[in-house]
Amino acid sequence: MYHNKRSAVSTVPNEDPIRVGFIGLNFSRGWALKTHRPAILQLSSQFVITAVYDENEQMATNTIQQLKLVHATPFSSLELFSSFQHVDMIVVSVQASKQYELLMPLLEFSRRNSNLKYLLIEWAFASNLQQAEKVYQASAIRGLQTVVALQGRKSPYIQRAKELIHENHIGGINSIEISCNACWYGYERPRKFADGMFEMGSGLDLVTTTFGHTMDLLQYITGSYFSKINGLVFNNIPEQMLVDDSGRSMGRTSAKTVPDHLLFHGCLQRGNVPVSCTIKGGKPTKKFTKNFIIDIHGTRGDIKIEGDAGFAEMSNLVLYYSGTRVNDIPIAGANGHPVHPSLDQGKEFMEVYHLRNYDAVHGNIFRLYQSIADFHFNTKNIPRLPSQFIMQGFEFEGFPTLMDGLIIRRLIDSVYKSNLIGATLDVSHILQFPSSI
Amino acid sequence: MSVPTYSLNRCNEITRHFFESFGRDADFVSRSPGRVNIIGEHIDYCNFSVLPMAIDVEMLLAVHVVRGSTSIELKNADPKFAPRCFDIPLEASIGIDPALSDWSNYFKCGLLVAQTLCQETGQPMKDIGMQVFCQGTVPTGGGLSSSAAFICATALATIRAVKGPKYVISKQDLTRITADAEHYLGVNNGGMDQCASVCGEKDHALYVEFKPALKATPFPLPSSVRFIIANTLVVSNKFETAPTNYNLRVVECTIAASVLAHTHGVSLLGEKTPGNLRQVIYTLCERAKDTEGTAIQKDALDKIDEEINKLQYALNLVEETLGSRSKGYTMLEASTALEMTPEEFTREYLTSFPVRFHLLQLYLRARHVYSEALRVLQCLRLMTNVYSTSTDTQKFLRNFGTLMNTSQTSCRDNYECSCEETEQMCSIALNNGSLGSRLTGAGWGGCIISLCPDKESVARVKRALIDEYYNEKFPKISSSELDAAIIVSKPVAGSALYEYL
Repeated sequence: MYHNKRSAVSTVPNEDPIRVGFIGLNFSRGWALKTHRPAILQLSSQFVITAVYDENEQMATNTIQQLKLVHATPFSSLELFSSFQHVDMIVVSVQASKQYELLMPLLEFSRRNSNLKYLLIEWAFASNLQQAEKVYQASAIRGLQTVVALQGRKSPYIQRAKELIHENHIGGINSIEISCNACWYGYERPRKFADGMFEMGSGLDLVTTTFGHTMDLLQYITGSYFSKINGLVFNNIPEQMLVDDSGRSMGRTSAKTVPDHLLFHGCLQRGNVPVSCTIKGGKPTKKFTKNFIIDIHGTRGDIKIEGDAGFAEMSNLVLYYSGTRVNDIPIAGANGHPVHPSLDQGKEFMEVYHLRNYDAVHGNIFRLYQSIADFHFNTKNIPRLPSQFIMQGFEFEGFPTLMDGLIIRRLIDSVYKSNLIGATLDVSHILQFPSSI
Repeated sequence: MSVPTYSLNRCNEITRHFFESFGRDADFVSRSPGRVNIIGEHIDYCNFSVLPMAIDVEMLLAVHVVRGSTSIELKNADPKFAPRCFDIPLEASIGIDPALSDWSNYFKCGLLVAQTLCQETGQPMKDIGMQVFCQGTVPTGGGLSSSAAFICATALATIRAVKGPKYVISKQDLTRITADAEHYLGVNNGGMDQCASVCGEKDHALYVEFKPALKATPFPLPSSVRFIIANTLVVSNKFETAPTNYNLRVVECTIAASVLAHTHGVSLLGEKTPGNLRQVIYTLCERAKDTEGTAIQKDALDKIDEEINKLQYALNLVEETLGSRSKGYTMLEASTALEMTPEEFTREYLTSFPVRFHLLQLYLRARHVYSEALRVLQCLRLMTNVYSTSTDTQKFLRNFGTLMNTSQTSCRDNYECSCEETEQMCSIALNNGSLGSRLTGAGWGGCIISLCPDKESVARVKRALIDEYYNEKFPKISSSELDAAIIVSKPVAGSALYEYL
């Protein structure tokens, strides 16, 4: 677990901290308050919030006062916020449906801020592939280092699984099964959610969110993209029962046009590995099976990642491993000829990796910020570290960028396309730029 | 008993470093020593009593309290530990990432438990920041519990920062809150280290009991006695190797306890976690007492003898119950022995902390724990006799040393937590005048402790270790490295504060 040794890594740089401008930070509610804010507090010598944007100026001012952001200036003009010189990194933490209309002018206005280096955007960063391609292009032309919050890549369980496969503990991958739960798309839904969230095209749905995060993690763990895929998308629950905050039925229904089930299968480019995936919309949750499972079968061992909640990117998981390591198997017989060991030979190791006190909601986002700081200040003293990179791909170091996000976006688009035309699609050209899909 | 306060004048070196680092004077210094376990290894988490002492190496924290701030700035005299700076959230508790190996995590553990105590006593930590300069002489990864010394010094400093210089901090409170602090990092230790660091007393060994309550009783040692604590320089970070070493042993002991309980029809209900090896044997003995009247322990001379009887009974039970599988249990065999499915077994025993194994050595681990607990009691009996009767000191020390040597054999063969270097150093020490030599702390490297009856034997053992171990194995070792590797110590006092008086 080399990646986790940090005592000698300095988090107090000789330079000034990265100045952060926030869109979507609110003093009383929201994801950014719960996750981004604590992460920045823990890295207070590397990040400082210098600007807060809100359409409502009073709201921005209140947020700054309540959270005691003593270095921050409030903005209600996107233009002034984007061109504010005292910002090195802009964080956009708003719903996917609002990202595009914010990001396109923001990128344009930000040309007047010569200090701006980073743009951190929440997944899914746009409502559809066309918008996502445009956001990607605009940010590439603007020359920013982008970060996309596919924070599951920073989960210690995902990294441990990646490490086990990378160090050849399960041999070649034979097959993979995945099942998970998208939470909000079952028979009932809490009334506090806006109806718009359940309309097709909002950028938030079972395929985009749950499938997107999960498949990004699978590709990251295995170190491979897909070559062929096939998807069947269902909407068997066009009307959901509304429930109140304590889960009691309110006797009313509301329409839903987003999917409530996905059947997906495909094969990984590397090793032509069959992957089978089923995503359940939401409630009721499964009675006899965990709600999140990635089950990886190899020639010499298995890895299984399980969770109670459906979202791998923000829940505490358990990783199981059992298998034989290469160096546990004798490689030469008595006569000097190599021995081909049977699959059952060698010492079988069992590993259960679970961190009882790991807070994944905070922890994964914290680790994402930590990797941004590691890159910016080159805290690990990597020689000839470039000033920018296009994508993380399957590296341990670094962080996911808009390009990594775009690849997942293209996969999601292919899933819908496959469902629409009822065919298996070749997606091996998914990495091409510009996209030809 | 409360944590004593001394004059800050004694801490000139660290206060000077503090001034150089932060450009202002420190308000106070908090100190907590390392500890060495004389005997009773790997039994604290089974709740059996142990016999440690605080030693002459320590963690010092020089602190300036910043009112109206929420920032913690940490600097360390050792460049291996890079500076840290973080803010305490206004609304939530501080985040600790148990998957990272980071020195500031230990600080955060101490901070967190102290915050909780302050909250409980009606004075929450609000708008108080700290600038902290840390300077330690406890070798890290040497089994002398640098982590506990750091956590205890941090908790003490935090309470002092929040409550002010007049507040009296009791040793009991400090021990109680720090005992579990490392659990936030996924290290499942028993509380001995913190207890010894906080409660240490000059010239006394500490008899530390965990049940019915965490308690340290000091016992005087003969004044001529010296302990040599010598580092193998094989670094063992308890945190980083926990899945195959430390935590795995904890898990093996728990499973062994469950198999013993299950086989003999004992129910270990009433605890949050599955029962431990102490609980099994106490429950069984209680039951035997009930069915056989008062016959079993009627002739016991005193409480120690009664306990000794229980442990001898336990050792027989281990032979009888687990002896047939002395080569170890696979996961499937262990779950079968408990009449559980592998899934139930995994959930119950393997998900508390990350573990990695080939076989579970239930027989060997249980045999070590019961025999080691027995040796602690035998030492205790020697110590209670030495002053009450006219037993001569030499005989006492020889007997004591023998028990230490048997402990080493058991750590090596039953618990498998020794290593080649440890074995080598122990024999060098024994050949040159040590009466008892064994590993101390978790093992897998780290330090050995040797019992030397007088100054002459100290000099001889020290010389021999330098000539035959350090110079042989590390030809380039410098004299300052040697000074740090070999500690000659008598028992010292525990945690303390240094203030402007």
